[in-house]
Amino acid sequence: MIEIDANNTLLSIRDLVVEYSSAGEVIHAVNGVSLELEKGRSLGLVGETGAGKTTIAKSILRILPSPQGRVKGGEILFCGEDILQRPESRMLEIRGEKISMIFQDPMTALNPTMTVGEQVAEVVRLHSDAGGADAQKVALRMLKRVGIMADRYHDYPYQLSGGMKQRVVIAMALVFKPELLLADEPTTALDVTIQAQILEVIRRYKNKFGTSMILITHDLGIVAENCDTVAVIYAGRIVEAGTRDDVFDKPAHPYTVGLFQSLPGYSKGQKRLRPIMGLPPDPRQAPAGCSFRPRCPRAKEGCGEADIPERVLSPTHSCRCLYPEVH
Amino acid sequence: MPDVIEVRNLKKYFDVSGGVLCAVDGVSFKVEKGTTIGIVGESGCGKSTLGRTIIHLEESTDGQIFFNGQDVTRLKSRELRRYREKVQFVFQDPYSSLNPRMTIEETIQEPLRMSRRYDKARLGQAVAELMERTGIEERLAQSYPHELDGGRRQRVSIARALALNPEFLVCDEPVSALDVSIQAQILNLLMDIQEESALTMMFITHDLSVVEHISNTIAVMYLGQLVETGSTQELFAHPLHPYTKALLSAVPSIAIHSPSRRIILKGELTSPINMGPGCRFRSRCRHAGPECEGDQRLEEVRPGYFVACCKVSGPK
Repeated sequence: MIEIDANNTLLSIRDLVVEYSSAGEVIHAVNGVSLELEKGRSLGLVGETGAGKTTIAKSILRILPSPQGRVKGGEILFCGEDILQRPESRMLEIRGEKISMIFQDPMTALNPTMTVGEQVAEVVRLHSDAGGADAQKVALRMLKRVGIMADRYHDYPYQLSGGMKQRVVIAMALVFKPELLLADEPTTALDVTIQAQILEVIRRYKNKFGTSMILITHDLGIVAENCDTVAVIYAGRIVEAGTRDDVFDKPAHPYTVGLFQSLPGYSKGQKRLRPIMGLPPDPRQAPAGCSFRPRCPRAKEGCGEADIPERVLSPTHSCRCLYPEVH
Repeated sequence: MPDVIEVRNLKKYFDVSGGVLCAVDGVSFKVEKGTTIGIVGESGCGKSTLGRTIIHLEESTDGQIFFNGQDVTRLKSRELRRYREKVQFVFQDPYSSLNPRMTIEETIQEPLRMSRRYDKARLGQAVAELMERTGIEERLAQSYPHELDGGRRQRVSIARALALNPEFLVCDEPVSALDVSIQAQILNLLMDIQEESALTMMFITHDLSVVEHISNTIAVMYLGQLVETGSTQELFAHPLHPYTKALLSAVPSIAIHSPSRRIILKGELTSPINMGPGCRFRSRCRHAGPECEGDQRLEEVRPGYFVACCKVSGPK
């Protein structure tokens, strides 16, 4: 385990295991994930579809689909409090006030039959003593902060573009200055110029209020520009973690290396890309040994036997590989 | 090399409640045989409509389309059918563009069967060859689309598009729904196919790193019009139009030690309904002035390099 300053830790996840059951089958979504996040910092959680990124975020907020999704083990310490052990009444306080989440598709978070201003005001009323007019005032101020002017207060979601809707969702998520923001692919559905605007809004807010963030994305460029630390997740396991510079300058796990090499533009002038061969494993079959082994160019004997232990590469950098890339 | 496709002043308008939507509004460009043109722009800029209009999935409102020098703007029945064999389309979403009730073999076979150029025995052989060429395992022939992952489904779409040996392939965001590792496989496949058969391609995407990798020339579209077009290298090295500059600067970069200067645009793409005269980008442009109220034409500022902005002029 990498050494961290315990006093400054906001979130600490230890050995989290999450399963879904569907039609009699068990899907192993998260297989023993440990993560640390310090106050005021941003962690980029990177991985491909189905790697378990969103499941981790939903576990933190305890909003896994019930009864299919279950946390089978581990702990999630938020400010030292194991939120997996707390009653739902406590979670109602934590959600929105201490921890908020932004989803990829803003429409999953917006009510189509309510004006956007009222939706923000509703959040204010639910979580504070502010009444009608006061809540409206807070909502207006918050909307303005994310770049939505007062004349849009009475608009319905359908009257706003995707970027504007995402701004409303951000306003709702940040109105109580949460300590932790879970941003799950917040700009994936948006065009790049709008993406730049939204990331700028989040960045400015974070800097002002010292909010911590877990940014879930498949886009390494977004991580490079917005995160202090990075965790690369594959088949429900963190295969590499470190500071941004550790992972970008010295990617150690063959999967991380493969992700970079797959990017057009990683090695300029090279005509053929270097994709990762094959596909991620079937999450229904609990993999023995390294789950990346079938696709790994470096796999050798021993990779398929036992779980791969964490290997500390530097005080801030670790990976789960027997034969990591040496820099 | 001769031009396989040329469009001149192509327009596609739609009647909508509230007026006329100018999805494609006077677009001209040429694509040389065996090369790829990348069409870049944000959602709603008309890039997909442009592709669909060129291959006659939409009837153009005005302007001309030439295929190998022949005017194909107003084709009917049999000629149209022949043209459509030569130009094919790969869609973004292989989940919705494949028939869920057809096996992979039937899907790839269908265009061959419709062409009536193959007897039964040769049909099977042709399908097997197409599957091999696009890297689809033989054992998947009897599978249905839902049993395949996104990457393989896109391979099936590509195999089907290639069935009749097209000369021009329009790919509309073919890798946008795929994870990067799979995306790289599909991009390699498309480039291999192009090399083998001197295929001419039009690659429509919002992903600038993908388009830089795969295209020879690039056309940047904004609200139905081209604002800048030229060789990929030049355009990425020295973009001239303020919109292109902002677009390129907005792409998050993995180069952590050389952060680029970001231009954050104000506002968003408006809808191209009842467009008035003048530069369509001017409401978001920080260089906009009174001279931008007039219509902007694509001017050749360097040999073979065109920009539609009155603030950019003369050879540079």
